[in-house]
Amino acid sequence: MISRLSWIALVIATGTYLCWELADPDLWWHLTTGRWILAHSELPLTDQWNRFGAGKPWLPYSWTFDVAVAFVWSRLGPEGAVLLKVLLGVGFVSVLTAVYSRASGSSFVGLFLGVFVACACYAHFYLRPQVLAWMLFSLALLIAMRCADEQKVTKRAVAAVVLIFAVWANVHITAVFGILGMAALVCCTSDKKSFLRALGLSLAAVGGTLLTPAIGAEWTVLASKFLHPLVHTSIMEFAPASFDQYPVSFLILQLAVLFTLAHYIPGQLGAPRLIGLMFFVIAGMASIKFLPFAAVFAGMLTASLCRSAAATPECLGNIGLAGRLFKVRLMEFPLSALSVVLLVYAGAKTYSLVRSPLLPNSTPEAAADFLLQNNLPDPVLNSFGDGGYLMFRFSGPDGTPHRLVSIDGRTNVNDPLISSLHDAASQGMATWRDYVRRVDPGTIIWPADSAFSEILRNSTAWCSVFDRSGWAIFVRRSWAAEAKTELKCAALPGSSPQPLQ
Amino acid sequence: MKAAAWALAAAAAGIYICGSLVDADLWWHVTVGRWILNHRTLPTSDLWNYYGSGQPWRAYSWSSEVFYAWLDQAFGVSGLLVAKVALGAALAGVLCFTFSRIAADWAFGWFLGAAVCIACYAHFVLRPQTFTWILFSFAILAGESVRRNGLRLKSLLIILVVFVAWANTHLSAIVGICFLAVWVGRYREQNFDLRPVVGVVLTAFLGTLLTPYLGGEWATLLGKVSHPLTHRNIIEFRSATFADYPAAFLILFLIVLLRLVHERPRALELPPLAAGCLLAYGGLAVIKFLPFSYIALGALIARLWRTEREVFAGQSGPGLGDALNRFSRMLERVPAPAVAALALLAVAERAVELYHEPVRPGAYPVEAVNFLQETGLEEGVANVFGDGGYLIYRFSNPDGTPRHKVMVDGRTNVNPPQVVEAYQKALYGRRGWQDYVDLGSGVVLWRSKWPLSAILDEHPDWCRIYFEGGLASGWSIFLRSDKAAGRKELQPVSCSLQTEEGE
Repeated sequence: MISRLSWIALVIATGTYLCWELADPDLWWHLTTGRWILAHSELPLTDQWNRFGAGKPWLPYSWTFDVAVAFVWSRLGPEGAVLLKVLLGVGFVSVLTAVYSRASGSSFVGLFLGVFVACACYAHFYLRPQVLAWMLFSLALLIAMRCADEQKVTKRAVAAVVLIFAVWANVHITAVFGILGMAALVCCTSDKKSFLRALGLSLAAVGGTLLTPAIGAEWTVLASKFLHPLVHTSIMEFAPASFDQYPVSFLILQLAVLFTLAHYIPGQLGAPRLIGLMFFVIAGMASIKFLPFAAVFAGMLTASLCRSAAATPECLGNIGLAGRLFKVRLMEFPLSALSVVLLVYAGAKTYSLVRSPLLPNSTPEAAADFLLQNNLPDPVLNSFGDGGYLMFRFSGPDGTPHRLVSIDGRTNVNDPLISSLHDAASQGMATWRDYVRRVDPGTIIWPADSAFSEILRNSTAWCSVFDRSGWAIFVRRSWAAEAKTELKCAALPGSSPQPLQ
Repeated sequence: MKAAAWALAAAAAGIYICGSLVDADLWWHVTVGRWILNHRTLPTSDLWNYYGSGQPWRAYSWSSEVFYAWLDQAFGVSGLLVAKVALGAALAGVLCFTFSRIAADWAFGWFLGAAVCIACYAHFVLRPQTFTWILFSFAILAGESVRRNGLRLKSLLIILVVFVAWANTHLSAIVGICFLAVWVGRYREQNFDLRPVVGVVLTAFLGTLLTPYLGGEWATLLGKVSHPLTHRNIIEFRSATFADYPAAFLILFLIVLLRLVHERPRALELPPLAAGCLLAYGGLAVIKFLPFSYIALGALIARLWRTEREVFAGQSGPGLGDALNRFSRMLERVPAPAVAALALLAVAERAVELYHEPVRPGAYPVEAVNFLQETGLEEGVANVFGDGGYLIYRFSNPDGTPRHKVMVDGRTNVNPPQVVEAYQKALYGRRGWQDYVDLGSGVVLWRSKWPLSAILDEHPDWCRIYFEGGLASGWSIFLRSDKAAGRKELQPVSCSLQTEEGE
């Protein structure tokens, strides 16, 4: 058995390894929403921050996460938020290793699988509610696996499922993945009883998802957002997976191991489990945001195969032998010393994160300061990725907005026309004017090294008043001329450039 | 009758994957071929690129280039289109033949060959690399013969001829040599015999030395080996995504192969299986190589089929092998006249389509280049990478010698790195785009919907003097306003300084 200290040290080190400085652009709108909820002691029923969505129905389905982040931020600032991220990382790895240990019947296999799957999620790990959804997903799968093994659904299991899905529905909109995953695991045979067990667990899960302030109205939001990953492929997290991406390589490796094990122990993976795996893999490859669900599900199937082979490890052939040798060699290591090294790494990483909690130049902080200090005219035209941060900066400590953004990370709030016009403008396409016409902005704030900024820089209608730290601000030349302001426009390109050669 | 009907059906599959002429690189190949035909020698340095001319360069696809140039001179676009159709039919025929021979089951081999051929659809253009897919199939077939019958002179001669042809067609012969080295081994024998492996590798390598450059292509390959990873903005060098049509085909082939291996675990030896999977991964990492992956996986499935077909036919429970076997037997029973009629219908449909549209509309800046020529603005045009090949063709004399050079073109080993770097900034409209534009003489030929067009449209120093095809497609020509001022006859479409409001 691996010592408890080594287990804890590796879990903590892996959890901190997953963390880097706060950089997720969506964190800021979660924070703003959380502030509003805390200040008003209720959930907003309509959007308030988006110029084209304000007043229209909107449901903050991640409200628990939003409130938690806002609360920590109000007490401890960004340092607290980054500590929350570390805590989330360690919690995620702990849950994975515990779940896989129970599923495989071996703490060694569980630790190995948990660390591997956590590392596979590295590129997706942000301070966002979906990380909690991955944890809840693994817990739901564990319960389903036990129900399948015991061939019965106990009251305790039902209660746990209700609790998990009640939390899930109040954290993120993806609870349907958990229901599908559980059904695939429980329906491991083709008999009617297993189908009924799956149905029972699914109904319990659906019941749990109704325990929200909106009494399950998140399902209607899901129905309306269902196609967003396929429609908004220009959003990085919704893009289809490419085969040279780090998480895809992890998944391919994981599938290779899983299929090798399945090859050695044929008949253990029933059709429903394979279909479930295929569903999660296809969902993850079609939209990389969902890859962690595929990794967690594949990990659970691997753990179950390891459990099946535990009694007769020799049935795993070379791969079983390699696993046993790896374990023996690892145990020969001075594990106590290794644990100390891992804990020192975790401490040092956490310290450096607290010292510098925000990733430099990941937000238009200086540009927003400039805009607000100079009281540049409304409306503001911004990029999709900056919308969340600008929501945060354009709102008071109680989350109430004093300016509106033209687009932000909430895909169900943005006007579809604005989204498509934004995409064309951000690519510098010739139709960029349509976006500008539609928003009719007084101020444009945009990433400086981009085609759209280059177009505006050379435009006779727009005047560049700020160009620092990766962002540029433009105001109308006519406004700059009329307003009594000390702002100066950058000179238009006029002189003929010199040839390079 | 039956054989002829199925051969016709294979040809129909090949013709199905033929579309109108669309590939940008075809035209620089034609130009190089013209130069070779007229000068009776191969160029040893570049002649057509403004910043690469005079630098050492090998026309490693010279045989295809000469052929394309001859066709273009003798028959024009129709000749090139007929060559493309013939290449498609030949590819399908060779794939069906190869897999039928390896699988020892003509119906299964035909089905596999047609499937692999259709998988190549998205990559099939009239280019030298397409011919190498045929050579790869022949190499695998010859390798299979060596594996089964040992080293024989006939097989070695075939391998020699294949690799001579390959080295005179394209740089990718190394793919064939590496796969062949693994393919011919008999790994389950107690004393592994290395002679077949060494024999085929040496023969193939010898073949690659029989070129006008005496194997100098290997040096070119070394110089280009990192290009698929460094030139990721070129479409054919990017990695596959799950949403790509060709990637879906590859995944389908992998699923079929792995499922059959799952049913008959010891049917294939590990090294060729690993080589096939490695090639598949290579294809997914750089989509240009996907056709090699399809062919390799097809060959592996065919080899497995040869040994396991009887087992599949006799197995008690249903499985993929059983299903494929039933399907193949069903194919055998389809009446030959019906096959021939269906094939003829498919061929006729495609032929009519190609007759009406031999060149895909909007594929090349034909009218824009006409405009450049009419206005005498051909010198120092800042162009798009993909248009470079066509500009080389249009800016050259009938003997292939250039009248004007291009700034950047599809030959990745000709463009100097600093020009490529500058081009990429211009391509994405990033800061420093001027570096590329300033390399030219104040004329820019660009796609209308791309960022640089929008930037130049706003820029006070530039005038749009030509515009075709709307904002979503087509080309624009921009002229520096100081040059435009001296050319009153040009009548600018738009000059930023003349507009009051830029939006």
